[in-house]
Amino acid sequence: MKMKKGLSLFCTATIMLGVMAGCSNGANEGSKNNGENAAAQTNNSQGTSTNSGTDTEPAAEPEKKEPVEIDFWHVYSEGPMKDLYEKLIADFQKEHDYITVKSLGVSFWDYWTKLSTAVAGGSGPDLALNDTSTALNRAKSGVILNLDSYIQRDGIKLEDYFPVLVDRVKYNGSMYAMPNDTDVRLLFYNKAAFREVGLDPEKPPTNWDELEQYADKLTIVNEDKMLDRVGFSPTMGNLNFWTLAWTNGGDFWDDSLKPTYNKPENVETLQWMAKIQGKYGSKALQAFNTQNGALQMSPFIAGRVAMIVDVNNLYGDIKRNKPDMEFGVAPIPFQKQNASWSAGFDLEIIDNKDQAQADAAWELMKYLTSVDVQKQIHRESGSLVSNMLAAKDAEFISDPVWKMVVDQMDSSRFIEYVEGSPSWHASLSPKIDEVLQGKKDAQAALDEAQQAIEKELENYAATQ
Amino acid sequence: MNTYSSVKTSLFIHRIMVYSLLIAGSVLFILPLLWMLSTSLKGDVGLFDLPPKWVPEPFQWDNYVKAVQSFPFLRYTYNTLFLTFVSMFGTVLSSSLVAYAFAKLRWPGRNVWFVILLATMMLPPQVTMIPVFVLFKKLNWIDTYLPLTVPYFFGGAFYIFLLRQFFMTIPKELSEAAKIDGCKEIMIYAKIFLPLSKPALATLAIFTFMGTWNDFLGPLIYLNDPDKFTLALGLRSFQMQYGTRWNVMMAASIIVMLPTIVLFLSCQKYFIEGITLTGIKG
Repeated sequence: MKMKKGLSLFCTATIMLGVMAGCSNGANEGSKNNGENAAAQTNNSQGTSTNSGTDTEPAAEPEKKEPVEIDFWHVYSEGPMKDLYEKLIADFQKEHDYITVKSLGVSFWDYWTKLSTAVAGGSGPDLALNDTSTALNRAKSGVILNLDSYIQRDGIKLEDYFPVLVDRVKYNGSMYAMPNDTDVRLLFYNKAAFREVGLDPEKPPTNWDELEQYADKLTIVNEDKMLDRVGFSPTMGNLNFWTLAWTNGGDFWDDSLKPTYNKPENVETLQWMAKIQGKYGSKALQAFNTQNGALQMSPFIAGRVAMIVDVNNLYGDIKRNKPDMEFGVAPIPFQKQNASWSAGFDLEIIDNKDQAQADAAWELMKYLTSVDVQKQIHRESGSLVSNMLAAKDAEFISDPVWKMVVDQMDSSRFIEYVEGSPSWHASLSPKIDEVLQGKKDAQAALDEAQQAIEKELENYAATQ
Repeated sequence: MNTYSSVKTSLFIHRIMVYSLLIAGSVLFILPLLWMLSTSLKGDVGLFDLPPKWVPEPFQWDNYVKAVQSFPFLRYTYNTLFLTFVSMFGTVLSSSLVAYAFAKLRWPGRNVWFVILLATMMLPPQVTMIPVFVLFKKLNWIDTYLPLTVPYFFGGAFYIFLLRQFFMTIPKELSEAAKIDGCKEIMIYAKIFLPLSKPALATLAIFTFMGTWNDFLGPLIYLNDPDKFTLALGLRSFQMQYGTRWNVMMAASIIVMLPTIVLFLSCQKYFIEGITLTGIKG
């Protein structure tokens, strides 16, 4: 539940971000191609410096540079991650003595307000951690720089990064950000509970039918008709309707980005979710959720839910809260194709119209996405870093749970970025909830949602 | 005798009912505060036990140490105090001057301007946020205290309105008498109106104090240098993307809240008057 709230907050922030990027587009009409201009300039300046210096080497680290100060904003405002970033930046400054980094961590919940206001007002940081899902919007409006020339100059191998992340920050074939980290959703299941009800703990459910059968076996209802353990519920953890629909061959947008909300595969998915949810009875489920609220940890870790689809971070929580828990991870059970949902952070250079600052910001970006630093980040936070050489390093990949997490990235995808409705997935949620609470039929709800989004896009088109 | 005792009993019953209602009300309002206090003294487990455990065992005084150490507490307190007092001073000075002009001086277009002033209260802050931000950016005021203080020296529509209404209740005869004795307008304002309006001015000061002390959005968007941050920003840093250290955060919140509580208790008289005067609370 908390996760859901967080998600919707995040989504509102994303809308705001989108709107504001749009505003600044209007204000900077004259500098629409700034990204490319700056990139071209980099090439030129690089060209001249190579002329004066060596001819063969593209001068990766020139001898002496003017001191430059850059701002870097991120979401690590407290705790071990803040300490880690402070250490990383100190290391970076040692390597690049002409660069001073002013780093600012703002709480995740407020970061988006601060960043979008500052960027819209033209006083954003030089380098910012930002939301990968909406990078295209900023690339289009020209607030962030095209990185192609930097990437070429320094020979960055984009194939080292998870392809889905690289694809996501490309606009018109050019890179506008470097992916920093991501997440992926997968099925966590309690092996001890499996054994207890006679299921093979090495055979997690692979499709929805198995998932349902296992869930029925694993659910425990006590004499008061209350739930002691839930086998599986699509509303717990972090499984979203769109993710499950993808595993059923469903889709919400066609190739020309026309909405397809009420596609039969989507309707089928929602019907199935409602069926599973209906088994528990809303009163018992409500009581169950209230009790879970007091746990301060995932109900999966507490043994109250036997199978749950959640973000890979749950693994870190398990290690912290119950290191000896017997559990397994598997792809989300699917009907037609393996699929999962990812979101994440990228690093973007904000166009502050200063070549030296942009160059320095690139150095920091390059450093933060390098294998060694990404390994340190993973070691500290367990986060799914974007550099595959780090994520798949022998040190980590020998862990079968982690290997499954990384492997799932091959089947994972992002939410489509739809300009007229950047947080379309969030506005879908209320309709889904109505169906899951048994207030509305799946077909009717999705038909309504389809109509609503068509209207929204129409309205948006009228403003363009 | 009989009637006397029945009146006495009914009065007694009435009292009991009033008091039990009041007690129930205060319990309702003090519970979150107690929960906060209790959470601030708990360890990392059992924070959300149902039913809640009110007395932590053992008392984790450590949380308060952690809270004070997790961000530069003294620095932020100093910053917040500075901002708060400058804003209070600015608001009281400018709003009372403007309100005096609206209430007691006659000048062309006075009512039109007053309506325009009131109209600014209808604008939601979200609408003006970005334009105002851009304005301050053009003035090169980002990452300084200027955007957070200077506006207070230009009055606030609501405060001006509040004071104007209060000034209008002060009888005309007072200022007329002063005028006959040769007193200038500015002296009438300073020597007669200000002393007579102490409760209203105190209300104003308290409102501004609460507003600035708790202001979060302003410092969030205008300040970039962590050394300039305020307590409200510091508090918020405990809330991370995946989870919050509730106990430490509650400890920090209690410390941050103390001045507001002290202020309330010491100015309770004015505060309540302010509420009856305006029908709202800070």
